[in-house]
Amino acid sequence: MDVKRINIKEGINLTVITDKKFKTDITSVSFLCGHGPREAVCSALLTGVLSRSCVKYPSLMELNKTLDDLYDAQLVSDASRRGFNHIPTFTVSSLNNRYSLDRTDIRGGCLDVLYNIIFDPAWKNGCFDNKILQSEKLQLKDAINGIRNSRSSYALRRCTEALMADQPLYAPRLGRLADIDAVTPAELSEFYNGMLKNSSVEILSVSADDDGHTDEFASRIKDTLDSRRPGKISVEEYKSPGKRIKRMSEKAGISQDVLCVGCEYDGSPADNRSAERTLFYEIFFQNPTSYLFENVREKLSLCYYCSALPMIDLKKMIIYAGIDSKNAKKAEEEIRKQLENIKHGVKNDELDRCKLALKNDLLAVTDSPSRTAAWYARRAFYGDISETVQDFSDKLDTLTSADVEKAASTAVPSLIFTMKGAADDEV
Amino acid sequence: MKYDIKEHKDPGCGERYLSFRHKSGVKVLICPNTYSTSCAVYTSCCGGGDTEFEYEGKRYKTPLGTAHFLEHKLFETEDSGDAFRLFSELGADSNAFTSHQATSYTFTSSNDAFYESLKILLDFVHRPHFTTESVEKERGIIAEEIKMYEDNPDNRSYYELMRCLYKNNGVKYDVGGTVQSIKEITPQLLYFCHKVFYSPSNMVLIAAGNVDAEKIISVMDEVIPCAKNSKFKRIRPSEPDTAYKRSSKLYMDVSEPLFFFGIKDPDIKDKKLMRKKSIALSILSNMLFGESSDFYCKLYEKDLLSGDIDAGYYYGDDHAYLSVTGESRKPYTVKKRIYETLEKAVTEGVDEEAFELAKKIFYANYIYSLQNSQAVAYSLLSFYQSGDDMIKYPKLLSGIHAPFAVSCLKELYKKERSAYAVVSPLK
Repeated sequence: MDVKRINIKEGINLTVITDKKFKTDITSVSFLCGHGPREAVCSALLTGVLSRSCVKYPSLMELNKTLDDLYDAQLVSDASRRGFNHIPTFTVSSLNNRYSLDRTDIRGGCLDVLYNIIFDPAWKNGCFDNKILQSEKLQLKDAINGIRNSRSSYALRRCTEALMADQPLYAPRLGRLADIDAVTPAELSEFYNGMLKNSSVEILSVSADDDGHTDEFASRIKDTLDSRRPGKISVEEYKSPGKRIKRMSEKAGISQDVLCVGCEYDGSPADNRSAERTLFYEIFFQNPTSYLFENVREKLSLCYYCSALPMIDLKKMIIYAGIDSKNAKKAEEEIRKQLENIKHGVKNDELDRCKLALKNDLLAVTDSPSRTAAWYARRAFYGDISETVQDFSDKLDTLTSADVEKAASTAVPSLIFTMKGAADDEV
Repeated sequence: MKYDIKEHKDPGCGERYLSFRHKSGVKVLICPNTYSTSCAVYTSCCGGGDTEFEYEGKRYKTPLGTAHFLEHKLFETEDSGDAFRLFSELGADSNAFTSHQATSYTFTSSNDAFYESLKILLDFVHRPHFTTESVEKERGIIAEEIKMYEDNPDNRSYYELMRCLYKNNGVKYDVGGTVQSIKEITPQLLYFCHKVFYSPSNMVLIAAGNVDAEKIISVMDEVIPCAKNSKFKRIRPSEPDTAYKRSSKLYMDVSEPLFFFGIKDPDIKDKKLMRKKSIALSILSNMLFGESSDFYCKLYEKDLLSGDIDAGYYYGDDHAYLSVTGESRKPYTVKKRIYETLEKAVTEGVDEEAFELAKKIFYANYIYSLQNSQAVAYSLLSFYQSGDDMIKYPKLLSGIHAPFAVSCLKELYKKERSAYAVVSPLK
């Protein structure tokens, strides 16, 4: 695998990864935008609006037929969040050219689609088309409301909102429902122009061969973004939480409760990808022999799933499980007990087993173009892609139980949130 | 023992695999490759749908959810340990899943740990160990799993459609059973079903990765008992050609209505024709309802569809259906359009050039399914279960054209075979 990173212009970086064994190619362009509710909702709306506002593909059908002709190339426009910052990302993935049956230049075609979708929108009176914007507002509302259909995802979202209630800069990945209607075509167009001018841009390419297409694509972007003033990435403010544990519950029409133990979880953004934290997650909730799986599920039969969502960039972690309401107290106690246990005495066999599991999983990263892309994308925004999968694997070997205990030590429960079935009594 | 190992090779894509039957009766498929990890899947060709069968001249009926319960319990080993832990000690990642017609156990490991992991896999599947206490404990975990799926709107809608289409076929029941039905499951019943379902001649082993056939045979010789293969005969209830119910509506805590349209195909006896028909109707349903279709684009642009749509033709050994599923705030307008689209295709045919274009999507999906050892193993299993040779897929695909697909649709499409299920938000 060959990895290179090039600064093509101030605030625009290109990471190119090539490996002959890949059958598919992935290219993404991400824009690191600012923080706050407006940025969140505009980022989310923009990903939908741009896909439907292209000069070259004026209708959804024309765009989708073009992608079909490129051997079912997938164009995904998505909004994500790093810390409090919002990131619209546009990704195209496709078969490698060597699988083309009719000499179609799949890669060239895909990069052309990606370029046109991001950089050549059709304007109406100097703005995005209001009809498309209104339609995408409905789609965004559906997407936000649709989170409710996945019970654990919805509970996690609600718990995160409760944990972040005193953080004015925080907004969920897709923004808030209440902020959608206020966005006008002029405001979204202003946001788009600002994004091209001021955001940090990360271009990432994973493919079987560096055939010149990536350079050409990067060069087109460089020429398009000719006058830029990229801003500095903001460092989020963080308020120390109170020491008391709050309790909240919400009713839903469900038959199984979702229990969330929300924790304060201190650490720096770099810790998000550190070997210490990764090993802690493996031992605590990821491995089939993890503390949560073995105790909350296997020993006490309290649930089918019990896992955790670390959000170190928000300095939070949520431990969650689907439980019967009559077991709520017992499940909460056991989860908190296991969190304390891991802070005070990780055994060597647990350490060795989980290191091995992680090292094997890391081997699979290099087999997969999408996992390779995710590995480098996570690092690219922090400006350092020098750590290879092998480096990380070697680092795991050096870790001790004290490292894991230290990584776990900052997780402190602060909120018990329960999404309860409609038939349950209020807590 | 010398085996007659057959090599299956596709000169176009360069893919190859080996097949033979082990002396125990187990069918073996091996796909050697150079990925960094290897994967094995060991599958019993009995699943959630096998609740009625004949065994050694006697007829049996078991509670719903027995095959799935067995899947959970097989991981328990004699010394009160579990196979998860044994895999974990080798750093291998293991899992299992039950469908209507099969139950599979799988692991992914480093190439170095493959044969040791394979030994564990074959050993725990063939050496059951159940106690009253452990079965009781598992009942609680499975009850929570069942409740989790009851709260899942997609899962509920799918089974709602199956209950509309099928009057007697077991495909209408959740493979996990119900909280009530699993109460009848005892260790004795599990031992009996294990003897019936896990007879070696009823099993298939699939291995993909940097693996060697001779070494796999050696592990199989050591671990798989060469006992008498049981005489198991599946009993499938007779099923009318028409849909049992034409429509259904249920209410759940969802953000907007989910719709599930289906047409039951009673013509499933000719297995060779089924392979060709399933590909033809999958291409056609994608063309008519997929994201590049007139149907999808118009409804999406009128805000009558949210997000993705899924359209395809699905079949197992005792059932087949074409379905179209998605989310819409106006599900009955969508229903009308589905019928109009199908009737138009039946009476006017479809554009042959567009059909050839749609085939590219299916060729691309085939290549996507060969991206790493786990994907290859799952793909081989899927082709094996439908009686297909994976390597022949590209050739089979290229020989299917629009007139054949339309003739299949004409045979299939009768209104009385179709049903429409809607899950609406709670009032």
